[in-house]
Amino acid sequence: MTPESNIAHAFKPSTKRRALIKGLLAIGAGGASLLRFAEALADASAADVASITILSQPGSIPDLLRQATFPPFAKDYPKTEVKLEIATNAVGYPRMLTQRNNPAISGGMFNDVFTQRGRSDGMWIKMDPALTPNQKKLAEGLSTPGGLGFPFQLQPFGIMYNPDRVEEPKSWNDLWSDKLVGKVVMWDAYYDAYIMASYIAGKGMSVEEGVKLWAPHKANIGAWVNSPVVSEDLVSRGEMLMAPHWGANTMQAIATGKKVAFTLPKEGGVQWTGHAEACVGFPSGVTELTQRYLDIWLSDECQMTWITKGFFSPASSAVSVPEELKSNPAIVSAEQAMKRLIRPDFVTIGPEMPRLTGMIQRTLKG
Amino acid sequence: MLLLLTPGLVFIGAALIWPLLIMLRVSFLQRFPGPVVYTIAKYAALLDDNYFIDITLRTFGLGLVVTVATAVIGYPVAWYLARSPSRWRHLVFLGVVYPLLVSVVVRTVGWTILLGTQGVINKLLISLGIIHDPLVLMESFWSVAVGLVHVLLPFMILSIAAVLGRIDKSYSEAAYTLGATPMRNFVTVTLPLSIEGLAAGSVIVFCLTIGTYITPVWLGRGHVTVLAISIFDEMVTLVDWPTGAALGMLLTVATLLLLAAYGVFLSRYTKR
Repeated sequence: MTPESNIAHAFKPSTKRRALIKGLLAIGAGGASLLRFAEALADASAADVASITILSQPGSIPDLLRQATFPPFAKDYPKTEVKLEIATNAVGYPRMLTQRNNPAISGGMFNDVFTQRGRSDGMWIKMDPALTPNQKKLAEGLSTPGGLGFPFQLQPFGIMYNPDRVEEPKSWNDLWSDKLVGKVVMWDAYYDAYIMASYIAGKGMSVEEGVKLWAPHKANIGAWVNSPVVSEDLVSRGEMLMAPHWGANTMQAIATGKKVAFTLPKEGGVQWTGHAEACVGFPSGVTELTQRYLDIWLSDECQMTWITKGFFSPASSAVSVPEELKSNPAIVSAEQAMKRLIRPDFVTIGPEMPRLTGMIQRTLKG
Repeated sequence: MLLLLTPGLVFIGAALIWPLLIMLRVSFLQRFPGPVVYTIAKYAALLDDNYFIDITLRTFGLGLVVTVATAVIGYPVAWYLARSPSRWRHLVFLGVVYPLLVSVVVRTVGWTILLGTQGVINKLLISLGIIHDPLVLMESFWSVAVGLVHVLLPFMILSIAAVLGRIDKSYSEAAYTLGATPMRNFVTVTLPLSIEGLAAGSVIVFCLTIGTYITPVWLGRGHVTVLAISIFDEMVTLVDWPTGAALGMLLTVATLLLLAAYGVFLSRYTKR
């Protein structure tokens, strides 16, 4: 055959049809194998899981997790890698919600608001006590109702301020001072400042009432943020002077050299609880390992790391706050928490988040 | 020819048309994710809610202000680039193009160094004794406008300069010969001939302004909510995808209408 007729032969329709049929048969056979493989993967045991992905808050938390939780987990499950997805709840949770049909994050840490949002959205699984034995060490009254997750750390929500530029605020009403026009950082996704305003005005722990009380003072709000790190940065640089903020986060910022300080005003503050949650939609092996990994967060060693490196208050009754940290305003004992911190009804607040945030945007940002 | 166009068409279809169609569908859903119930309630809410009306007006107002400012500032620079015989022309061209090499995020954050309460301007004014307390130079519509003019000016300059450079100089020379003053020469000869460049630059700047996100977020510090920020809030913070999609469609339709108007203008103008 001539080269031209070779080429023509190679592209003859009959040859193409046979190649196509062979290809389709191969896909069919391969597809069946793929299906069997997928089914096998779904039933894979914990020993076969290559990795689990855990949502972590940003800042110094990822380093704490790598230091305190990765080694003990790797010792028991050397074949499974723990990957951290680092994001605030305000950014990470909505992403998880939209990925729920094909989830990537099998568990993580969530604050009270997003824990309840996840509960109403059906995002969490019930923890198996056999896989999370450290739950027995939880301080009394701290267990999560219904067993959907468990608390692993506490911190007070008070006021962060720049100690070089302003005096320590004594009251939540100091945020409304005329000297602070345009100098206060606020959130529209977290409501504790509004709740405290309502509480000390005698109107209960109502976000709506708090927003109305803030309305005449909205000129004091200099910046709206959706990240604790941005808030700390603004106050540290002196661009802003005060911000309702978390105690442990403030202490972590101080440890990195930022010029901020934390105080719990005379009226007290809000108790924030960090919850460990495992997510729906994963094979049994992944779910088991996620729970086993999260259980490490309640181990004595990890609880002590939360206190000494993260400045969180312990959720476990088996661990005591070291003497040198007992005077730290960001670390509260169970007795102090009972006396000075209020616990809003996040079960109601969580699902109302879209409406409440919308109300804040219209009332205070307009 | 169709074979050559296919890869491009497939890419545009997959990356642009298909997501737009998905967004259009989501904008008519009552809830997403959730049961499929179609409604126009989200669009009705946008048209009825003063909050969203204000945001829309603010967004398009910002677009108009930034477009006019970049046109006024950019035209002389474009003229210089296109017409000046100066040997420093290439340096000016580099100066215009260089900011495009730096991320818009970096450029926007850099404004904090100038405009912040602890920024250069405030520190200078305080050290000179002109003010005692720092001025609030950010957190306003105008600080956002200034930042956007800085970011988008190169687009306007290059669009105008490209057209100015193609205009035959003999037209101006003929006008001078016939007794036209420099001002009349510019108004009756050069400006009309350069209108296509001005229009192209205006469309680019306006479209980029009404879709901008990082500059209003950073320079506005939450006080200047534009459509892009509102879309982010609805989609990410509040997970109200139908409302976010409806806002997105509003922005998309406005942009398409503007492009259509530009197309009509161009076809009528070039016929003259």
